[in-house]
Amino acid sequence: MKNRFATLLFLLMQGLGSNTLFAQAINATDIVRKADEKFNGEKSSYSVMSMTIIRPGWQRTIEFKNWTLGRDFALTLITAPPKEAGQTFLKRGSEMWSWNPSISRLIKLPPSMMSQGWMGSDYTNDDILRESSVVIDYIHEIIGEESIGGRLCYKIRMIAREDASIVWGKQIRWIDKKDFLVLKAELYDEDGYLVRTETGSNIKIMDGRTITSKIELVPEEEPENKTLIDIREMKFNIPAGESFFSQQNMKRVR
Amino acid sequence: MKEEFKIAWRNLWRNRRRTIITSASIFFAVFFAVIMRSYQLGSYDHMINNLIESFTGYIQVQHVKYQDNPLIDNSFDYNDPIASAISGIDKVVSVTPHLESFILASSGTQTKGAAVIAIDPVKEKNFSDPESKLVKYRITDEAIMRMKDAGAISDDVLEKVKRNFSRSYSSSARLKLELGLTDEDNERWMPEILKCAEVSNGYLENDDEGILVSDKLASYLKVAVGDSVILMGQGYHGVSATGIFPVRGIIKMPSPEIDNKLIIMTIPAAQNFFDAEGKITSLVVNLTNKSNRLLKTVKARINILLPDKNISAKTWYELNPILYQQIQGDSQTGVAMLGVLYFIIFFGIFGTVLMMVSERKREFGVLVAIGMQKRKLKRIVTVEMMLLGAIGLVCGLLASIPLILYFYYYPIVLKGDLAITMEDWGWDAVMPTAWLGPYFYWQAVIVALMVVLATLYPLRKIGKLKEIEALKG
Amino acid sequence: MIWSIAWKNVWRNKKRSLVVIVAVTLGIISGVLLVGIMEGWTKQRLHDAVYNEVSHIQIHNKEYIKNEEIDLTVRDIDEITQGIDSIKELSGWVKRTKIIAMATTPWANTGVIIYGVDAENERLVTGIHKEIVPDGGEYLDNQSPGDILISDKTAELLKLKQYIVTDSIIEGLRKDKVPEVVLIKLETLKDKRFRSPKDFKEALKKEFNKKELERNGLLITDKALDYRIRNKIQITISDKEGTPIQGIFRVCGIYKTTNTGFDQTSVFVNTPELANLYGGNDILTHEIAILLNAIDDADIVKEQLSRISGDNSVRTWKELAPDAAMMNDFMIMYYFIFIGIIMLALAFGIINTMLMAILERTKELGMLMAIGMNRRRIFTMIMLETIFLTFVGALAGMLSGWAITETLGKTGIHFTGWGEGFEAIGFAARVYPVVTPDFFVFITIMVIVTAIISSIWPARKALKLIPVEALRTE
Repeated sequence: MKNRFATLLFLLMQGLGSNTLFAQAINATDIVRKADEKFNGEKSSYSVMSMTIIRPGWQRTIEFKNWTLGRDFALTLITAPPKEAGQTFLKRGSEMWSWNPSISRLIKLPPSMMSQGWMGSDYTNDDILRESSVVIDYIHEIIGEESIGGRLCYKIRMIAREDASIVWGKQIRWIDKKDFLVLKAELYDEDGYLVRTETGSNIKIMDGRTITSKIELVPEEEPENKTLIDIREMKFNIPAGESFFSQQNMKRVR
Repeated sequence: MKEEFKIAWRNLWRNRRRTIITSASIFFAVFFAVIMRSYQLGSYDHMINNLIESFTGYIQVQHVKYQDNPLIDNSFDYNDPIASAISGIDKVVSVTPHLESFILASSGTQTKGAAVIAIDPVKEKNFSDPESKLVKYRITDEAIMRMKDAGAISDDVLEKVKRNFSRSYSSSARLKLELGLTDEDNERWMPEILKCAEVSNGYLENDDEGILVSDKLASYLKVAVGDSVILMGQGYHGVSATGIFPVRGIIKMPSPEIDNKLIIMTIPAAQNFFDAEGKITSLVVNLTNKSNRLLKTVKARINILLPDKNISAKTWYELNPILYQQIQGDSQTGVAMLGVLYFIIFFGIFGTVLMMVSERKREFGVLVAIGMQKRKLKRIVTVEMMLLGAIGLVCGLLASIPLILYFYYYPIVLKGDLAITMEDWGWDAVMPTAWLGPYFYWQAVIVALMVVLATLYPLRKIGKLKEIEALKG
Repeated sequence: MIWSIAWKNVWRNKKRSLVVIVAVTLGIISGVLLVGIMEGWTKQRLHDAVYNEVSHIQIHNKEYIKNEEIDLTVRDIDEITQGIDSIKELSGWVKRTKIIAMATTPWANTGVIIYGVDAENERLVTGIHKEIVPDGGEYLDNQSPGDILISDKTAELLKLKQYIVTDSIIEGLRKDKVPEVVLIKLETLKDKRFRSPKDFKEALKKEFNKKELERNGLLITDKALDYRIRNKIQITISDKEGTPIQGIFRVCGIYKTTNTGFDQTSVFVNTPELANLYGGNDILTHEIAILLNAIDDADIVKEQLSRISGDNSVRTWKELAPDAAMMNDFMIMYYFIFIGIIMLALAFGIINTMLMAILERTKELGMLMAIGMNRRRIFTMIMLETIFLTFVGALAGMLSGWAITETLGKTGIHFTGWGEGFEAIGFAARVYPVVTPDFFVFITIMVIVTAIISSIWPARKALKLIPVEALRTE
């Protein structure tokens, strides 16, 4: 009898214990992964977005449709403004291609363009190609909790791994505890100087998932420069196989 | 004073030989100094001229940020009334608009970064004149075949031609320079060679939609007149710029660096391509001469005409501080060389003065003994030296003028490898003299000073003169 | 006999002779010095071009010269290697991988050419390991694989050449006797990091007035300089299919040669690391650089190698650095003209002086002729006097000129103010004058010729004197 009780207690404790273990098992890396999977974790996705580039003296807005499959495939179609509508970009693994209908020309992105802003924005081609490096290229640590826009967030410090092929020294991310949304990210160089700040806001539910529908990028040394991304529509797990993400399709997609 | 003058004059003609020898030393001093400085200044002038006449211009009007960041975003609106107003400024020879940027040029599977310079085909004739750089002759297999078929050309001349296989030329002069044939061979064979190597070419019309491609770039992209090239880049405010352009002509740029990556198109075509309506990146202003004073004056006048603080005029040396430093450095070396010359010259003058004094020791002794005041004697001798100096100076200057003028209009033409490299850097391979200018008078002034210095010696000697010793002879 | 008479005559009128001698001496000294400076410059450019940039000979794939693609490696490497090793004039050689790349830091990016080298062998062929700047880290090392060596210019372009004023720097400046006024103003800039020389200089201009800047600016800039050694640089290259590949290297050292153009694009890493990047066990060799014992052997060795080089192109330093070669030729032309003019000027000076001397010695010469000295002897005597004069001056000039040039050759002459201009085209701002034995021989010959020619006219003049008339003059 005592033994059975002990076993029950033991099992109960195991149960309780495993709950706390489970709670401890949400370590920093997991948090970052969950946040990353918001956009990249689904099998596939389709979105309609607009990107506004703000500079002292002018601003410009581009609208596009975006299809993704896993982490390795993405196809983007520019829909506005008219001069650039019809251009498509294809990402396959670490390669990026662009198609321009006005000259019927398919171009592979050369290394010299990696550091340039995509379509002239503060979002570099490099950023686009290496979105998922946040999980594998850094060592993560929870350093606190802060509230942003009324939501409580984990404050996570990410130190770049020695062998990771990234220029950043560290990042600090504020990831919302409830929905694992990245509400703010600060990117630092190796010497600890802030280079860029990204903020996520305008939280909406799209296709059953909670996401930040507005993302803002601000370079630290040029605060008058900004890139704003606005997600108008997003669908997950759309029917699209690898064959969709092909050079032929780049020319056909509408 | 008049008396001293008369005596001095007579003294000079009394001993003609001595007079001639002394004034000759001054003559040669002035002559050499002027010629040497003329050559030095001539070559800097030449270098600068080559650069600013057809490359950077005397003055450029640009967006203030353009020099540090030559991006198309740092362009400004072309304003016809202002451009005309600038042309109207005194001593302005030409005002030429440019729109410049960097792009990727692509044809078939070949892609290469290139510089685009958009011009006004008519106005540009007064400036860099791309039409003169159109390839006129090319040494290709066909050309050599034609030369062989023509029959008459000797084998060793043909060998020399073959050594320059696949080279292109925009002028027969350059072709002659590179072939390096003897004068005789040149006379006999050159017309034939030119005929066989000739190629047809085209230029840009006003508002043309086509482009000119530099020779090496064209051969990398494997395009010829009539083919098309795709240009891609970032336009105004980050817009993607892409377009297909027909090749109207191929130009040969002397510098291999530039020849590798130059594309020329019309300004309207470029404005359309970069989505930069009505914009240009620079207005190039040429003047009648490049004196610092004129540059500063015209720059100030232009700045008054400009509408806002974002656009300003800059002189060629503000746009090219490194070249300016280089020239300054070189010029100082030149001055040092001149200094060496002066050393030698001074001693030449001094030597003859020394001789003159010792020769006339007796004469001086007699004069002083019979009562002439030493002061008067000194004045006489001073006038003599001044006259000698004046004669030497004037003759020297006059004699140098024909030489300077001749080599200004017909400078020494350099040949061989040196000439070819100079041409590559964009300089004509000649060694000209400089036009008559301030330096002319400066040399004269310096030599005059030397004469004055040399005069001190005889004056001192007279002062110390002891008549009896002098009379002893 | 004539010789000793001539010699004695020279010293009879000390003043006159001294004037000519001093003129010749000074002329030769200045000539030697100036030529020494120009020669020093040319030699330096040539030396640097060969030892830092192009070596004596380089071998590339023929197609690589037109289009630097990653698969255009040197062909038949083994045969070439054998060929090179058999050259008797060989001093050393290296293989290099050479790829066009983009270098990126969080603040900037720039295009570069990345060289994959063997650090040990490179030391035998190039002199870049000697050009590490003070406080600029170290040269490459085979033991530290992930290192990258960049130039001062590249560091500037990547914003790794930074400036910061700290307490210890202010202390150091205090010890260097910088005035307190200046140091107090400097406190306002403390602990601010400036990512480019331009930004720092502008900040200084705002704080200090012109005079303070002139006196202390250089020292402050020097001390505040902070190269970010051990920082990361991301390198992006293109593989055979044109796909971008990225890797991280850490700055191990900063070098600086006299040629900013070369510096700007050249970065160096260890060959195996670069090979890891483009994913191969194959080490690709795009360039072979060869150093010989003597620069003059270059043409001969080129001939030899061309015979076995097949599809590769073999080029000498003359073809690889034509500007250095051109400078050489240019200088020779300059010498001739310059020395020519100096000799002409000297000649006239000498002729003048000798003519005057003869006029003065008319009586004496007349006497000599009257007592029977024949014309030829007189001619010879005058000629010898002229030649001796010139020679004494020339000798003094050459010896002192040589001595001065040697001394300056060790200390160097510094050209402030035009440093930037010179270095942009590869000339050092400090020059070490040098004069070759060749040049001295040349000058000697010129002097002899000048002396002989300038002696002719005065000597002939002397002959034309008729003895009777000569005796009659006073």
